Order: sequence, then structure tokens, then C-alpha cells
Amino acid sequence: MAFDLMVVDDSPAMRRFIRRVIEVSGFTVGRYLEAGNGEEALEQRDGEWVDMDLTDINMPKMDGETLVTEMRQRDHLAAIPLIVISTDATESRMDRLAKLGAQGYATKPFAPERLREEIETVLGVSPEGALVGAGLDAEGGDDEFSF
Amino acid sequence: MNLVFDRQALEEQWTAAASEVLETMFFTGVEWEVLDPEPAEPGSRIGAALEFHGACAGRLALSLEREAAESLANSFFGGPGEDGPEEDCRSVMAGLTNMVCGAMLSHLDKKSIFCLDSPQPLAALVEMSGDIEKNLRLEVGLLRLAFSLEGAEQA
Repeated sequence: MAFDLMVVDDSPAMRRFIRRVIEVSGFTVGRYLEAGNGEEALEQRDGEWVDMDLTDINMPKMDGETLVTEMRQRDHLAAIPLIVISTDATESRMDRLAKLGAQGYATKPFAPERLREEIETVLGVSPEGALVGAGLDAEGGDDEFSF
Repeated sequence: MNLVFDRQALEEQWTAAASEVLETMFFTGVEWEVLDPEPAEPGSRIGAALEFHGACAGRLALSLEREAAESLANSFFGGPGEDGPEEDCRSVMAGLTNMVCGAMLSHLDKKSIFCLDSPQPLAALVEMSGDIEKNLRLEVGLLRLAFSLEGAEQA
């Protein structure tokens, strides 16, 4: 099963790196969309379905916290799983993002397998790509936090 | 309330943060600290700096020998990008600066929230100065690090 992902980060280098890490990890990606900030991510989402968003926090125009908040307030985006990828490993930040509605949090630096595990946990898929009962499917699902 | 920091502990944390980032994301290790490095030739190094705000504010600048930056870029991206090696080096130095700074600040105070500005390329080595300066010998070359912290008190 292939999943469509959107990576939101103001650094083209980091978007490129995350894409490489996901590919190297063996996770099967269908479409891989990119946005440079939250505003661009929301603009691209008019009529576009993706199975998961991975977003940075500190970005110009619209940061990651605002993106999470906006997504959770929009009916067609509210159920889409979202992982925050950030250098910020403070408990305060993680708690805040969890309360806003992020389901996962991966702190940089991370090993490829760590990111894959986080994606699989939040998507609710086994390492082989099969959906498992406790997680989310492509239509959305529970609000279980993985951190 | 201002953060209180121990200078020696802070220096050790910088080394630990840089090592963690380099080993995990760039597949290269820190071999040892260089106390008195040779002066750099103009144009021989490439660098980036960023400012951060929050419980305390400050600035981190990193620079690396150009060939070493190319080596890191190859490790990081898995090969040359469409924009060429110079852009790859600039991108990888920006990414490295962002990650080292984030890792360090998270260790410094887990309860506070920091905001990191986007890293900017260093136009000249004269911008490589700070309250704490370190030189780390990596497997690929010499990494220079300069860090300044405002709004924090030394213990």
C-alpha cells in the first residue's frame, strides 16, 4: 500500500532530506508533495487529498503550530494525520503541539528507521504496509498520540 | 526569570549536540576538539548563522572547510542535487546549523520554548565570533562553532 505524503518545511534541503530518508527507510510513498510553509500547504490542499502531513514548526508566513490549528478547524483536513518534525525537543513544545492536534513528533536529528516508525505508528500500518486496527486509515480515525 | 548556565557545561553540551547531529544525520563523527586551529584562507570555508529567541536569545554560527561541506552534502542528500554543489553546500550548512542549535537549546532548557530564525549564509568569516567558540575535528574536516547567548546569566 502506498501513501501520499506532504512535507512542509521552509528549507528545501530538509524537504529533500526527509524525502530521501523516507525512501531509504523502505516506506512506500505514492505521491510526495512539498510546501515551504503552512500557507502554501493549505493552498495546495484545495481538492488534493494526502494521507499524512509532516511539518516543521518555525517557518515564515504560517508556522507549524498555526498549520496544525488551521487543519483541525477545517472539516476536510481535520482528520488527516500529522507529524511534527522539528529540532525543538522541549516538553513544552511537544505538549503544545499535541494539544493543538498533532499526532506524532519526530525530533531532528533522527535516524531513518525512527522516522519510519513514527509514520507507521501514526498511520496505523505494520512495517509491511498493512493497516492495523488501532491506527488511522486513509479516511481518518482516532486521536491517539504517539508521543 | 533569566536562565542560569554553567559555561563549561554549556561548552560540553555544544560538543554533544554537534556530535549527535553529525553522527545521526550526516554519518560522520567528531574526532576531537582543536584548541588552536590554523587561520583559514579567505573563501576556503562555507558557513551559516541563525538567531534564536525565547527564554533567552542568541546566535549560532557554524563554518566548515568547503571540501568538507561538499562531503557532508553528499552524505546528507545521497548525491548531487539539481542546483549544483555550491547550493548543496549552502543548504547543508543551513540545515546543520538549524539542527545543532535546536538540539542544543532543547538540552539547555526542556521546559522553555525557543523560536529559531531561518539560517542565513555567512558572508565573511569575520561573522564567526561569539561568547563561546569551539573547533571540532570531524572525519571530513574542521568545524568551527561560535555561540552567543543573551538574557542568560553565567553561574
